[in-house]
Amino acid sequence: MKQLVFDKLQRGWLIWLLFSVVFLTVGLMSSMAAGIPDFQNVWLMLVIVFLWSNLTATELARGYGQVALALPFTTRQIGQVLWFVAVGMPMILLAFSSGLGILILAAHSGFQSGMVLAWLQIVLLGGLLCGSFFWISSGAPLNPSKKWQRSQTYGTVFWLGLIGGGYFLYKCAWGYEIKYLIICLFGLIFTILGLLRAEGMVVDYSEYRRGALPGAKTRGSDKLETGFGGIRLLIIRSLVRLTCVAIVISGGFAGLSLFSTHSRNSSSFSEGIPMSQIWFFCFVIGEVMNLLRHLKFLRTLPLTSKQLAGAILAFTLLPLLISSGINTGIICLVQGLPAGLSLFKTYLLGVAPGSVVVTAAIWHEEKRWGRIVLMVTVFLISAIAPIYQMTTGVWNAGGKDLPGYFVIGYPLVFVILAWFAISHLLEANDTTYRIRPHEVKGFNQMEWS
Amino acid sequence: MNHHAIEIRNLVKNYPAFTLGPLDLTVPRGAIYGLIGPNGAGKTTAIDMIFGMGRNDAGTIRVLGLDHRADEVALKRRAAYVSPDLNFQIWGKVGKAIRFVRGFYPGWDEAYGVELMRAFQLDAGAKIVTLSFGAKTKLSLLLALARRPEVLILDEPTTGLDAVSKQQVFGELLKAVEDGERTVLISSHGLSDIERFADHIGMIKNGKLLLEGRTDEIVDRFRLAEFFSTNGTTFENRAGLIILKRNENRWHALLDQNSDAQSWLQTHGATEISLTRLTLEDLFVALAREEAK
Repeated sequence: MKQLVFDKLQRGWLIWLLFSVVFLTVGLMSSMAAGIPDFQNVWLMLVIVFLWSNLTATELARGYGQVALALPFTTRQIGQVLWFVAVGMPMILLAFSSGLGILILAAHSGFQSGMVLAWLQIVLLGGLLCGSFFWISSGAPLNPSKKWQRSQTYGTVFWLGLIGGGYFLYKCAWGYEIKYLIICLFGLIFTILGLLRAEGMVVDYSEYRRGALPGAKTRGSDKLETGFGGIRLLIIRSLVRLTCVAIVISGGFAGLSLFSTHSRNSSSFSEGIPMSQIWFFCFVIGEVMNLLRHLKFLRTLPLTSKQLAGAILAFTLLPLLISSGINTGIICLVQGLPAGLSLFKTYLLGVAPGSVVVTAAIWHEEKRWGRIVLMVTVFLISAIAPIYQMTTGVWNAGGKDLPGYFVIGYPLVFVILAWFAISHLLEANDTTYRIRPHEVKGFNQMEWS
Repeated sequence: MNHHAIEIRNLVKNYPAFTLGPLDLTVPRGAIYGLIGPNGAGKTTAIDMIFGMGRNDAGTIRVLGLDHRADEVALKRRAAYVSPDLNFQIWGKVGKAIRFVRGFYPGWDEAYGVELMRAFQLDAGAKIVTLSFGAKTKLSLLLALARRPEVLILDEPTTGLDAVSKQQVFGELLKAVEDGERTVLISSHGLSDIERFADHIGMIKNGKLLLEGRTDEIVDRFRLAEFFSTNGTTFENRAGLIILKRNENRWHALLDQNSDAQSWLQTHGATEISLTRLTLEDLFVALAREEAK
């Protein structure tokens, strides 16, 4: 089993290192602002769960289960390795990065008695959260299963229970300690159950046959849809679909903000809106990664590399602009026009790092250090203006918006550069097409049926 | 009018561990051209480059007289590409993928498309994710054929297909070229199929063209020579002669009948020379083995 764990460590060290650095930085910033150890940021915790569940699922979808099963290990052992990587490793990293953060805080502003307890809480909560999600992933309701209806029912009951239970805990007048204890108790049960059925993660994925899924039955239909096709279809469908997703994400974040603050007023309603754009951006990038698996096919269509590069950028940036419009509209209604316009400027400037990320996504297969460093540098440069606008803008009560010409010119330069870079990559770089269609697959798989 | 559907001249593409070319390839109009070669010989690289997936370091590629870079869009309107590597999953259902692709080609043959759907047993409402590997290849072929391309380029199209499906695929390909104007370039490891269906072949080895010509002429040109040596004479490879096996004084060799190898053998002590006709597969294995040596 050691070999399997070391293999995973060897292949995943960069992601884990990046995660630790990001967690430490954000946690430190948040803690310094609050004056107390504040590493229990709910969004960061969600990122941990999302990251690890996706990493494990992607590995399995790439055929890790089948390869590991052919090795001299029992299915249970392989499942336990996955459990360790998905639950144990994040816990260790959380312990390390938040521990380091608390030590820095202690050195900066003096040791406080609650710091050790806060550290234990962070590690325990994060670990149990990952453990619970491992349990969900190792069988119904998330794991692909032939018993589709059963797993869907199971899933619906689970999510309703989770949301309802969470809401109940939020509403009830019990003390913080009791609520924490209840959460930990449930988390612990799910984590242990996950460990006990860890092999389900491997077995179900290995048994997974697409043909057995609902929808595989053919109806003998040869009637084709009428209407336009081509790139227009690709862009319009993506716009419609992603606009719906943007509305759901913005609505979800607004709702979360409303319930997570005690003063339920219009201001708290709009608090989560700006944050939703970051999550929507992550979703859009996931969609772009999906699209990139089809690059080889798209390249065979009668389009020049410049046209295809334009389509890929439009596929990414137009939904982001639409989402920006929705969010700006809400902020305008709640906080007034100046705040809305200020936020919209931040979003417009955010197009610059967005276009860099799209370029990096196309380039990601090469994994050459020089180019990775180049992309990271360009990304950091592109992020300066939106971060400046975000921290000093009117909507954030800073009152210093960047001038309009700069807000338009800055992202435009990056979009044009990205367009040239992508079209060059499409034309000249054959590793761009080495993404095998059947290899990469996470939870956010896109279909437009 | 250009007589060649595809002309590749002095094509070079350098990689850190492999160099394709200089490669010359000529596919006549109306031909079914089989491109064969061992794994890693450069077949897919050459084909991908026709469609602009990677830039060539030197040389030219012309399809129907069109330059693959300067006339990229015009070329792609008239030529189609089929490969198991093509992924259509993003479109969700078979019908939606067809609708998407149809939008690019004004000459899309609706009736033929439906006919192919029936022949390949593809359902417009079927989810692409649930299709078998072979069915996905058939979808790829349908999307290529229904636009009635003048040149059809297929990279390993029969991978994952059962015997019946293979026959179907080749049957449709033959139908597609029956007017004599359409051309097929097919890269495949199914050498018996290539020998049966392709009228021209080209063999690539280590990024270079080894053989090219009419299939029957190439197969006819080589023979398996079995002979005996007298007085302990040993034979080594020379132009037109590749020694395959030696069992004491009994020898097996691949003999090029267009060379003087047979008369050379006779004058150098080989006796009882018997020549046997080879299949394309035998020929391929013999040439590939020579490389392995």
